[in-house]
Amino acid sequence: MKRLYILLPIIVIYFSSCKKFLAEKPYGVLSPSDYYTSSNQIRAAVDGLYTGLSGYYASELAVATAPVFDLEYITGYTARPRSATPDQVQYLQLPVTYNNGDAETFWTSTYYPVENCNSVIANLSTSTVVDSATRHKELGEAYFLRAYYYFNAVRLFGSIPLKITPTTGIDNVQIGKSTPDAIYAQIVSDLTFAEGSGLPWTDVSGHVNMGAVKSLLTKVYLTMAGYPLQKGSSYYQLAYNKSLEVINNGSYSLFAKYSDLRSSALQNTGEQIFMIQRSYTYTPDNNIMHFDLLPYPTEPISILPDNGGAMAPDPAFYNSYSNSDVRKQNQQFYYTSHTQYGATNVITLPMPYIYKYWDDLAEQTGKNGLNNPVIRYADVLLMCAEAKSMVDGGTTSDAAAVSAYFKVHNRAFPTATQPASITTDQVQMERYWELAYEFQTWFDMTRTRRAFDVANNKMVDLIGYKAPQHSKAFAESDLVIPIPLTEIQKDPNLK
Amino acid sequence: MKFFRPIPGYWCKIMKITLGQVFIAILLTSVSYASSSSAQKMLNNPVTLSVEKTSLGKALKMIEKQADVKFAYSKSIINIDQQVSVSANGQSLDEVLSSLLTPIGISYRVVNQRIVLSNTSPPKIAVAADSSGTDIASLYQAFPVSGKIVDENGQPLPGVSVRINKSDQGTISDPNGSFTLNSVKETDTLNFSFIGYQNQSVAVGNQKVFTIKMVPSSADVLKEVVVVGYGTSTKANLTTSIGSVKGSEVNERPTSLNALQGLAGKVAGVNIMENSGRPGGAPEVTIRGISSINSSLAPLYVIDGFVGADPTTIDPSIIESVDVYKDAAASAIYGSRGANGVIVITTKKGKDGVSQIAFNNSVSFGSLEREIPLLNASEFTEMLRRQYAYVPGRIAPNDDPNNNFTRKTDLFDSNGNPKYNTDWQKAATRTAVSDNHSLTFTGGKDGLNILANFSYRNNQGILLNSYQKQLSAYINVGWDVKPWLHIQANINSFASQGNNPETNTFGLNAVREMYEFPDIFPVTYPDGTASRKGDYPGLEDSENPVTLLNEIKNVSGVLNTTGNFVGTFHIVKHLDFNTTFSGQTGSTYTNYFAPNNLDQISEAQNGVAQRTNGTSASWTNENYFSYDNQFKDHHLNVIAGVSWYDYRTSSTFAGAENFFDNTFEDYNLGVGTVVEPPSSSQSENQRNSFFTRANYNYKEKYFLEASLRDDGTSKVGVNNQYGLFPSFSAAWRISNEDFFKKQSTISNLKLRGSYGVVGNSEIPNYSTITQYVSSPTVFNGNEAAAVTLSSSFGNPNLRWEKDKQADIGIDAGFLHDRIQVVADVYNKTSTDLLYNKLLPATSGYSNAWDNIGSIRNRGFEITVNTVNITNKDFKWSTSVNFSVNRSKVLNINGDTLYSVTTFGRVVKGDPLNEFYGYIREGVWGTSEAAQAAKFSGSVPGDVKYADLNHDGVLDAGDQTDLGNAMPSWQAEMTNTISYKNFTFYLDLEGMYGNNVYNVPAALMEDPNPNVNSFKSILSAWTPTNQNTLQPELRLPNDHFSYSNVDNYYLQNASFLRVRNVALSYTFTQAWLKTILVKTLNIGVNVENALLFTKYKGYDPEASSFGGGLEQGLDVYQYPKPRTVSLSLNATF
Repeated sequence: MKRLYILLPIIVIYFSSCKKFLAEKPYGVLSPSDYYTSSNQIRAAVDGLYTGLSGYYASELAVATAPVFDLEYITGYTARPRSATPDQVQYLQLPVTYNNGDAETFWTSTYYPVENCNSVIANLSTSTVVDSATRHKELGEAYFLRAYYYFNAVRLFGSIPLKITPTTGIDNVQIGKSTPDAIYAQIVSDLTFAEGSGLPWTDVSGHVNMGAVKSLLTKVYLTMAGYPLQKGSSYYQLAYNKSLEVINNGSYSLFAKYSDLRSSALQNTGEQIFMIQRSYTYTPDNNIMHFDLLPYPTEPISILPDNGGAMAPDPAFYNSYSNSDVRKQNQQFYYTSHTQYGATNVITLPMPYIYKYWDDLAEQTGKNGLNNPVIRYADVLLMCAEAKSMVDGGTTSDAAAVSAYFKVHNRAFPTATQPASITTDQVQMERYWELAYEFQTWFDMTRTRRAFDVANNKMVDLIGYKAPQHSKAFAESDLVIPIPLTEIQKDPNLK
Repeated sequence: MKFFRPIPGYWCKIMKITLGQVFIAILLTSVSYASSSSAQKMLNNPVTLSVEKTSLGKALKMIEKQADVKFAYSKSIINIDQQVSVSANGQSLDEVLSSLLTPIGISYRVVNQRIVLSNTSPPKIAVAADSSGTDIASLYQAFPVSGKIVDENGQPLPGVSVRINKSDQGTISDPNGSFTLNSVKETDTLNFSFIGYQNQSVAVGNQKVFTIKMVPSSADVLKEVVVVGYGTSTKANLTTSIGSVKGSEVNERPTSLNALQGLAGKVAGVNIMENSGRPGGAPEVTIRGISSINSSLAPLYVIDGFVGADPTTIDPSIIESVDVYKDAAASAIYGSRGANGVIVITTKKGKDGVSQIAFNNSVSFGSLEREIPLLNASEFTEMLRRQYAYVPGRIAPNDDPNNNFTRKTDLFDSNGNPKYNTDWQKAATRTAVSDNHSLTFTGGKDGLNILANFSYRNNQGILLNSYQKQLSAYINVGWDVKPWLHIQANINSFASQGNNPETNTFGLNAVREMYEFPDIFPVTYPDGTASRKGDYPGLEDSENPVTLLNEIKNVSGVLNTTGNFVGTFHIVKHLDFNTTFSGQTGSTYTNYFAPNNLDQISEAQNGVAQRTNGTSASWTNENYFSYDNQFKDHHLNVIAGVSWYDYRTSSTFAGAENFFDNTFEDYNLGVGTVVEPPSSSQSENQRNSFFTRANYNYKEKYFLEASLRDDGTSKVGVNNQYGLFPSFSAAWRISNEDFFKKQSTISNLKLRGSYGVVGNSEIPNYSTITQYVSSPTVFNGNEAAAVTLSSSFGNPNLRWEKDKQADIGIDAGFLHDRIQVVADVYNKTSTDLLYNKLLPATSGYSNAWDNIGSIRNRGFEITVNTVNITNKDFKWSTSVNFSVNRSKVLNINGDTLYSVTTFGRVVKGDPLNEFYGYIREGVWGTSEAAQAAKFSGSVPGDVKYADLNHDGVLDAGDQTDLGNAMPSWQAEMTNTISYKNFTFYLDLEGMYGNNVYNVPAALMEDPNPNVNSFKSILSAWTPTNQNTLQPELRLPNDHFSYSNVDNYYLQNASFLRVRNVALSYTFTQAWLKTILVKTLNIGVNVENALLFTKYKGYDPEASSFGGGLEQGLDVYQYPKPRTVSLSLNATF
């Protein structure tokens, strides 16, 4: 009996297995080795590629901060009513230095989503679980999004690394920079693939559609025609042609009222070609714009009035709008008064604030779920006009171009009459007014190397122009953001 | 079930072979385990021998062999040279001993398998009146006596206390060990006592000159048992660096909620940071510096053999001892898990034949230790006026007749001066009344001993509504089931619940508002509404701290049960087999509710309720053989075993918003019409280890020890799951050498040296696997599944982190151990750091776990315990420990690690915990406008930073190391002074050279504050006051002005604290017995009594994000109380 007692524990040790015992068994997470086995899995991976679109909007520790605002601060036409972080001050005043934390966010908001695209493209290209038409469309979404992420990055940083295959190990992760030429070539190639992928022209769900692909390609060609590649007239022509494909397709039209741009019922339709999708109910996808753009110091005009002060129009820029411009009227693109929240009395604001992102529901519920516009039809129309005017040497009387311009202008000036011809400067100024605070202006300034001299109401050369909010004039070195020091430390090839 | 699965690695093979042999050996060999453990059986052993006129010593040796027993005796008491004769033929040992020893005045009894010999008590002297033939007169006649006292080596022993009849009369031996007493009687008894020696009593009789040989006390501190992994040792025999603390010391501070708080300051080299005054806040424990960057820094806790226990779940009053393994050689037997040191807690056991009830109680009163200098109402108003006056002609709303904001007449008089002056530090705090009770039953009988303990602790926090309650029940049973089997089983059941109304460190929480709420506001207006900051135009709106503390419910709790079963099989003599099964099941919960009216917290959501529940379970099985034998002068102890561990945990979250009524709180989430996304998780990890250790000593002079552990974990890469962790240590007990015994100044001297390797794998589960993250996204307002790559690249090649530590130590005792010194120097190098390496973003990942780099920690520790004065009524002892640790990053692969939360930087060549930022030179003066604009786009009145790289602009190159969060040295001193029945206790704690970043000051002294501020802001820059470090006061939107992390707010946090001062009285009066009380002790105790520091926040021992690399950041810390407690402890 005694022996038996002694034996028992020995038996326990003796027959225990080792390797099996230590095998990791992850729960609730997926690993790439056993993914891409069903169409649902593939759809979820493709939908995951869209999450990178809101990278620039990531809120930081301080109130009313997100890197996306820097894209307006750097133009010099944007004030920040609330006190700024050191990172923001660099954009507000220039120059932006190599240790800017927001630049790090722009960088990671490019390459993390790109890696997701690379992974989806690599896995989906060889997948047989979905039919080829579906696979093609889904690849089209992935190629479009990769092109979009690269397009933003190359415009911000200039020469950047080009990585189009997934990472397989941590030993060879230091890759050097590629020229903007190579990056643009890849962008065009990706968008060209997406053009041929059979995507529908419109998609009310907010997924990538053919209009988005061709509109983006228009903008890519327009940018390649300008700085830094300066491919010139032939690319303006390509941009013009591509924009006409969108316009002539007829799927898109301008909203009659500016307030429709803020209508949750009209999202992903009409003028809204491509948007960052937001939610009123799913908190991580709430929009920050309504609350961050509230007046500062606080005015009690919304249920949560305290977190505003991110952006306000520079007074000189605001005053550059004609007084008869509908966009300048109260509660169109800007506002100077608003009723008190939960009351009827009107509160007059000490200065104009941006109304473009005002969300009537957010004012009541505290949650902002309006989508953020990425590509608007108005943008495409103005690109059409600008491209043709450049092809034609600065002035054009091309009917399509003039009409495209006039559609946008006419909405702001309902009593205006269509001109016979338009100039490039005229179109570019219209872009400033129409697309103000939609994070387009900086890219227009760098591709054209022109600036809107708001004091004198005319277009001037960008280099040497001191924007109203800046502490110095633009220099060549201000046109791209330095690659963040932290990235150079991790990959010295980026120096 | 398939047996004989392919077991990986050489270890499994070795185990198979060796275990196989043992298995066969046991099957085939007749187990000779004759001797019974029971005393009577031992005395029944038959003896056959016959000797004539031999020495007692020889005779005993022969009996030992014959009867298979061991004698134990002191040669100074038992004269073994006396001649005896024995003749026995199969008689029982009892009979033989009785006839041999009784006639020569020696008694015997069986203790612990040994027969202990002692002198028969001297025959009592007959009481005077009845005793015939005794000269009564002589009995009462006093006469002088003298004598000499020597130690065990015959050396004179000075300082020995000599008492007559245990009375106050007596003397102390002089430097030659001599003493004289002038007046003793024949009936008197002389009592000799000296620390470290057994007390002796000698009846005077007619003797006039005495020679007394003192015998070292068996309660000698050097013989104190020290628990080493999988066994025990004594202090005298240790070869490694282990700090031991008695249970009584852990319980010196009655307000300690748990063992860790009680341990603070008790062991040199163990840094215990009590970083918060929050009730139930667990301190951060770091042993010998921070040795890892990303892996865990917490030591391993072992309670009664249960590896990986939670030390906060047991009642500290049942702790018998705590042993802290500081060097690698001590910890190596726990291998991978011992990298940060091991803290072994042993609970009390019931004693044979002694039934006892201990009842400990305390009630305490805590209050805010000190207030920080914030603006009062009129000063705050002055600040506002100056902010507004930045723009000439602009006047503050309270002074502006045209600004009639709603609460203006409630808050200000007609001159614009405040009506209220609310001290929010007082309003938000209270006198916290706490009570602790513990009831412990101990006893033992017939091989069965038991301890049963029940404790209840109710600790209030000084912030309104914060509390922590704990309930624990503990049972520990030891049982000699059979002569060959002993089992030890314990069960601990623990429950705690606490409310922490201030959640969300950076948000508008109650603690933050206690700092930031201006004194101009009342708690509630006369109309009953609570004040909000936004009631004054332009201030950042928020609820006041009293509202937040009263309205927000954030109750979290733990339910935890652990069971531990240890079986010890005495297989054959000297060889035991031990098997341990331990299990733990636990659950945690957090219940949160914010009613529908809290601005920016729950108003927009119309009430928020959330519940988070977690469960965890683990089991451990350890099996090991232990062999222990003495071969003449050689002692050998060997253990070898195997361990299995499995841990799994899961959690669930649910939350809802929009409640039509506040009564539901979090009790019925279904009432809320808006559902927060639920979430859940599950994970598990496993370990498997093989370990062995051999320990050898020769004559207790030379000690050698070696251990080896092979550890496997599921957490590291599949190819490197097992890691080998060896250690070696040696010691030379010089004081046991014959040449050393000739002197008596140095009573103990031992040199120790050790080297060992331990591992660390406390990284997140599944770090070797690249994962997808699945979280919903939205398309046109509808949620859709979305999967993305996680930010961490899975590295299947991960290995163990290895800590190599060398330690040289000395243990010394002087003057019969009245002075004891333990000193150690160590050098710990952590290599193959499990480092969450940053990847270039172009890889698509932010980081990957990798084995990179190394860190060195070097240090020195010394502990000195002295008995300064000891005599009958007065005793004073002191314990001082002092430790120094220096860390250095030797290599982190060229990375520089910046921490956003701690303003710190980890870079090669620097120490860890280094703050990094700018140097504040002052404020730009009026005459420096051009320079200011060029340097940082600043204007006069803005902060001026030093241009360290002299490039004329403010940039990253102007940052520098600002100071360290860890102390250059720390020290602790405790004094215990007892006079008669009073005991006075004083505990001083000091740290020097540590710095704390005072975030509240940095934020509240922002040049554009829209909250309350520190008084120092009134020294802000003005054109007439340019020589200041405070920038000019403005309104937030007046001018871009921002603060960088700078040396101005990194404040010197060196401090000296009277951590504890206590006075207690022990009743010894006879009347106690009439109420059945054995001992009774009452005391008063002041915790955190006094604090001397230059730090401007509440407490310099602060960290808002825990310890490790996050140490030293004060973000609106929960203030620490000063606590006065009354205690009553009784045993029955």
